[in-house]
Formats: sequence, structure tokens, C-alpha cells
Amino acid sequence: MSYEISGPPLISPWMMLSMSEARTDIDETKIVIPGQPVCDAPQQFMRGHGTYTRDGEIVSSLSGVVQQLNRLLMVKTIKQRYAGEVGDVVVARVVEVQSKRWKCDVTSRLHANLPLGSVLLPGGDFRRKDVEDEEKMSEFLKKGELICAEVQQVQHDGTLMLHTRNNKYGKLQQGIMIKVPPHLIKKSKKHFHTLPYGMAVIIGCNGNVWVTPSLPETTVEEDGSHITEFQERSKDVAHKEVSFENMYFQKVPQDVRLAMIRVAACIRLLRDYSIAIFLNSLTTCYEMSQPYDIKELSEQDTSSRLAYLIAARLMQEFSSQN
Amino acid sequence: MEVQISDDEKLFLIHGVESDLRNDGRSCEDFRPMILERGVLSGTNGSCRVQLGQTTDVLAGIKLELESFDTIAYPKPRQPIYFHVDFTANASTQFAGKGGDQYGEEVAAAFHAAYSRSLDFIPNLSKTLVAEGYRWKINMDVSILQWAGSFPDAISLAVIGALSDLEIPEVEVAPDDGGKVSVVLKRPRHGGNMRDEEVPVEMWKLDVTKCPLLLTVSKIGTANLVDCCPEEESCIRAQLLVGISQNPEEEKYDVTCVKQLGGGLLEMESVLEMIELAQKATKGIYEALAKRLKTEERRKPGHSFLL
Repeated sequence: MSYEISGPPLISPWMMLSMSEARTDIDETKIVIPGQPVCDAPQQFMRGHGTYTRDGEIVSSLSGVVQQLNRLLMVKTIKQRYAGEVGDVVVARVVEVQSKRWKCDVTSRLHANLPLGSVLLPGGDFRRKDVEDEEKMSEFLKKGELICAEVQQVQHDGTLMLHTRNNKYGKLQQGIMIKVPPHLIKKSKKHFHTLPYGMAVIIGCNGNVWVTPSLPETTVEEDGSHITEFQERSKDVAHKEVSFENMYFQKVPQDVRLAMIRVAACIRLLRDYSIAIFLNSLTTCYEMSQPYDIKELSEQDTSSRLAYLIAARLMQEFSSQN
Repeated sequence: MEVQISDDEKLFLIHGVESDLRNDGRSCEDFRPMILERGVLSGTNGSCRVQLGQTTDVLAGIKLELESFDTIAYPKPRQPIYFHVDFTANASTQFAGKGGDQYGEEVAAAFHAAYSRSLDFIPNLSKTLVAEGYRWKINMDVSILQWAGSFPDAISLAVIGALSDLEIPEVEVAPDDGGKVSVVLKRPRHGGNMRDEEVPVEMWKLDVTKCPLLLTVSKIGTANLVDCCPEEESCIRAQLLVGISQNPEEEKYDVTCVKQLGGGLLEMESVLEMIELAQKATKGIYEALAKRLKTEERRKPGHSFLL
């Protein structure tokens, strides 16, 4: 039983920003504010996003950093809505079930689409989707459920088309989801990480981080198709080997739960102090948080002290690599 | 703030709560870290801002009014604190326009009921009756800036904080024409060449050690918890609002009101267990609150809003 009533913080979290890796690729001489001219010789350059012409000059319309790509000048802001790219792995929540597709919230400007033809249904993807499948869409994924998917295509208006045509994607079950601003997620090759503490993490490029007891595992069927663990268990229920309650109401073991909650607290700490979230920062944060109780990690003094140490350690590792 | 979570997430949460391990590492009896700051609004007579866990944010401000009333219509002393609770659209989109008015009135009514005997538990409150037919009316306005669970707890802390920050001017009562009296602010002269208006007015403060706290206790699965965050609130079976006031001399915690928020069924045993939990939690909060009120260092008004 702990009750703490304290005063407002003396250090605000953004003061930590200067030490985080999210800012290593920003050149401070090119920071502009709205209305500021972006270059000296406007005839040589083409203007891109975030700029407009005024009196023959290329002027910025946003607060951000000037980026130059050959002859294209554009202004990129630090904090912005997630804009998807092909190949990104996202963690999304279903908001609507429509005919032949699901609408999902990826915290972008528009909801993403997951067409019925792009999901891996039980029985493998050799099946064609028929009218029965269309009626049973709600049984597979209903409103409010979480999925892990990959971006297949970006439409011209920015809508993302997702797919789960792989056994590592699909419906997510027990776990904790934490929302993080998308600019703190570094682009990396791997998004699925099994941590050495008994649980796994999916770092979605759109800022949703999913902490789960285990990643979707696969088993090979007799006819050679792959099905997920969930689908295997539903087969067991159909064959009355496992009771309904045992399949759906499996309780996560206590030590796994503790590890998951600690990792979730670490992610929140990294988010509040604007430190980029990737495998290395998570494991560093987890190890350095061991001496503290999990609930202490949300208190001001402990978290600010810890965040400072973590940022220092990450900067050290980064500079020793270069 | 309404959050939507999937059935499996809810299952994970409920299992955790039943083993006394919530998703943020707290036990069922722990509160989120609270921030209390007084003197944040320089245009009020007393103000307080309370944040619960960086999301629920409540602002309370007091304005004093010298009211003249008819002694025949109101012969008995009435309690002078009037509450108005405003749910702003900032807190949740459902409160845009007039959406928040009804909810605000319900909460204000709960506080009116809890403070109906304020003349008993705030010893020097009777001093607000300055003369026959004249009294200080304490208008307490509470504004919900952000809503993420447990707002009655935050409001009750903010109300106590604002009442402890309130400074009421001392007055001198002099007889006037027609049987009436004139009420004048008391400025004690210490000699010297100061003009009347420049001498600071003498102020007095209220003693708030016995003010009641209103806590929300929720039931998730078989466990009882205090201070739920929005994800937990979407899994609750039932929620009670329990008003508790402390009696420090006798070490007792009296339950002043029990109200059910929202729907759900509860057995009598559960209700008793939940009230017990509220009493246990109140003890800890009162101690933390007293410590904070004593050790607070004042900052520039409104400074923390910029952080």
C-alpha cells in the first residue's frame, strides 16, 4: 500500500530529448520555422512537402528540419502522424467490419484497410474466399481486436492496405499494448523480438508496441500448410481434446506476467523521456531497472534518474560503435 | 476517456488483477503517483491542481462572495461552500457542448451531500458568518481538464487543497443607518506613513484536517481495487463511490456516503469489503496529504502548466 503525493516535476521530460538517439540525425543549422526561407538559391531547387513559394522564394510552412534529396527540398517535422511505407510491420486495432474487408486504426491520418483476400484463414491460404467466409468475418476478427500486419501498399491518398499472409502476423491475444509516438520507433530489420526474460515484444512501426507472453508459433500440417498455434488449439476444441475454457481462458504464469509488466513499465519510461525504442534500449532499460520495484518506475524521481542513466549508456554505446 | 480493448487483453488484465498484479505493476490497494499543487490561479482566492498518474487532471478554484441574506428566511446557519463541477470537452469528446452538464451536476450533488455537515468538521467555518444577515459564500469551481479514471478522488483532493489554500479576509463590522451594518476589510495599522489602501488586509485560513475524501472502489472479477485507469474501467463489474471522513482524535474513519456509479450487481458482502478497502486507503492518503500540505514550497502561479 503506497500513497505518494508530491509536487510538480522540476525537470520536464523534453529536457532529456537532447540525449536521446531520436535526434542523432538532425543537423541543428537547418532548423526552420514557418515563414523562414529554406535556401539561398531558389532557382536550383524544386520544392517538396512542407514548403511553398512566396515572392520567388521557397519558404517553409512547418517547424522542422530541412532535408535535401538531390534537387528536392522538403521540411520534415519531428513529431508527425505515422505515414506508412511498404514493408512496415504495424500493430492495429479493428474499428469496423465491412463487406470483404476490415477497417483498422493504425494511428495514421486515415484508417487502414485489411481486405478479406489478404488474410491467412484456418486451413491455409489455398482456399478461395467464398460467400460463407464473408459472412463469418466477424467470427474471425471483430471490432476492438488487435492484429499484427504488414503494409502491402500505400494508396495515393495515404490509406494503407495491410496483409497478414504469413503465420507470424494475425490476431493478437493476451498481452499489453502501449502507445508510443511514432517518431521514437527506429526503422529496423526485425520487429518481432523474443526477449531473454520469458516473453516477447512486437514493436510496430506505427508506434503501437505489443508485449506478449509468446510470439505466434507455427506447426506444419499433414498437407504441408502452416497454421498458427491459435488455429491448432481451435482444432483441439473441435476434436474435444481440450475444453473450451482451457483453450480460451489460459492464465499466463506469474513469472512471465511479472516480466511482461516490467517491460511495459520500461517502455512507458522510455516514451515519457523521449528515448528511442528498439531492442537494445529495451534490454538496457530492463537490466538497469532491476533494483527497483515495478511501481517505483512510474514515480518521478526514480524514473528521471533512471532515464538519465539509460540515455547516457545508450549514447556511450552509440559513440563507441562509430 | 473511452478506450477500447480486445477480449483477450481484458482477460489478461482480469487475471492479473485477481493475483494482485495490475498492468502497471501496482497492487489493488495502490494509488497512482499524485501531484498536488496549490496557488496555481492568481485570480482566485484559493486554488489547487491535482494530477493522478499524469493523466487525470483536475483544477479547483475558489472565489469568495460577501452575501447578504434575509435572517427571517434562513434563521439557522447554513454551510457556506457551494460546488460547481465542469466537465470540459478537453477531457472527453462526449462532454462537448452540454454533454457534460448533467454529469457535472451529479458530481456536484455528491459533494454537496458530503459537505452538508461542513460546519461540524471544519471548526472555524462558522467565522464566515460575519454579522446578522451577512456571510462569506465560498464558491468552489472544479474543472476536469483530463479524464482517465478516478476523478472523484482527484476532485476531493483538489477541494481539500483549495480549501487549505483559501485566505479569507478579516472584517470589521460597524453599525450603519437603518439598523443595517457596514462590513469593512480589516487593515491593521502598524504606524508609519502608509496610505489606507496599501496596508495589507489581515487574512485567516480554514482548518481542513477533517474534510471528507470521496473514493471510487471498483470490482473486477473477484478483486476490489482503488484508482482504476481507463483500461481497467472497461473491465469493471461495478463501482462504488464511498465518502470517508477522518476523526484524528479517535483514530476512526467514518463513512459518510456510499453511492453506486453506473450499473452492475453487488452482493452485500462485497459492498462491505469494498467499504473496508476504502477506509484502509483513506488512512494512507490522509497521511500523504497532510505531509504534502505541510511541506509544500510555493512556486510562481501557473508555472507548472508550462512544463
